[in-house]
Amino acid sequence: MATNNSLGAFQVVLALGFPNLNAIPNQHDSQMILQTGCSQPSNAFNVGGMVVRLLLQQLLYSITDALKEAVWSPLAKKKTLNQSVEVFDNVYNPAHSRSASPISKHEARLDQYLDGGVFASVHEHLATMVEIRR
Amino acid sequence: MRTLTLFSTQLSTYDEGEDNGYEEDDDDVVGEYNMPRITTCISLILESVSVLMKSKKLTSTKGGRSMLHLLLNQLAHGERNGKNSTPGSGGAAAAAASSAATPAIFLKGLKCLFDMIEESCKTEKYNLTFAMTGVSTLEAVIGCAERVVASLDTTLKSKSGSGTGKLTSAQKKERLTIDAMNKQLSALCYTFMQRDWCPANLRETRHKFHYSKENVSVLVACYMQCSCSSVSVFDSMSASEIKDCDVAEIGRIGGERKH
Repeated sequence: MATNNSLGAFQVVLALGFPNLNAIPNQHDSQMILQTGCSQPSNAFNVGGMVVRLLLQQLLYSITDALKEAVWSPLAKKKTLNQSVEVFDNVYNPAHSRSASPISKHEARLDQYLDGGVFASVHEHLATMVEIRR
Repeated sequence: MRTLTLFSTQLSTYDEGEDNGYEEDDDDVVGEYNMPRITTCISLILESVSVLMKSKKLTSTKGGRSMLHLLLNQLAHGERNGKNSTPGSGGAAAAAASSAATPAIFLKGLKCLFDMIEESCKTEKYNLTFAMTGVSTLEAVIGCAERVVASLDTTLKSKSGSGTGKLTSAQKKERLTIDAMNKQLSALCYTFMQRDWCPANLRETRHKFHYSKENVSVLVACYMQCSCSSVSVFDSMSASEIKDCDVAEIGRIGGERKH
């Protein structure tokens, strides 16, 4: 599904790990809600927002694409190491990726998501939405 | 700022190109939250989890399992890697911890994830598609647990050279955890089977609403296969005998038999 052109687009998924898109944006906000009994929690929580929905959709496509790739092999590893990885201009960029060397471009993408805390953010969103639906 | 501009441009381009029938107008908002959109978001998360859990790449190799361990730390426990440090700085330690992960550690994470997913869909009463997404994701989590345990046990056996065929107490514990998840899924399927999924607007003309093999058959199959108890009525029968049997005598699945 993904071409080289769309690989860059998948990096927007990293935004899920940005503090501003956390289910609860920051500790101060959540404490305020608890203390003041804020009547408009939808303004304080990011859950179920349009941007989050789009990012989750993109995450699904990205993961599907990354895991259906046929080769996670030493050959692919060699190829990836020789290629320059596209740099995304933020603190989560692949240059900071963990020491374990990526096996392929697709696996490197999952690695970036882990480094960017994308799945931790997904956990928070899911837990918050489950509470809301109860 | 440049990042955010790029991000919004990419998302807006993406939004124009995508239409999966998931349009939840803000007019649909009931109370403080847009519930249809929340359901869609949960559904997307469940589908993503399902894809991850179904991947054999994450369970068959050491590298894959290492990634799965990190993934479960975030997805199931909500732990952020190196939250107070620069991204990737804790990578070496994390990778080392991951390579030493035991089946019990994986099962703990998978059970945690399983419980959260079950919680997300067990209260569903109207949207059968969403309920089925939940069931399919739970099945995928159980499948992943079975694969990762089998894979690690094989690795340990080949390292120690022991192959007595007897289950150790740790392996028995692992089996119990997987059985517990199976039973939970079976119970959930039974709950779903008992619900009337016909939309309110079609209840007058029920013939317009149909269950299909993608939903009710999956629920029945899951209910029976995951119950961890032999369904003795069918176990002793051949296919032709099952075909000929009087369903009224057996009674409803899970219900009392008529004698």
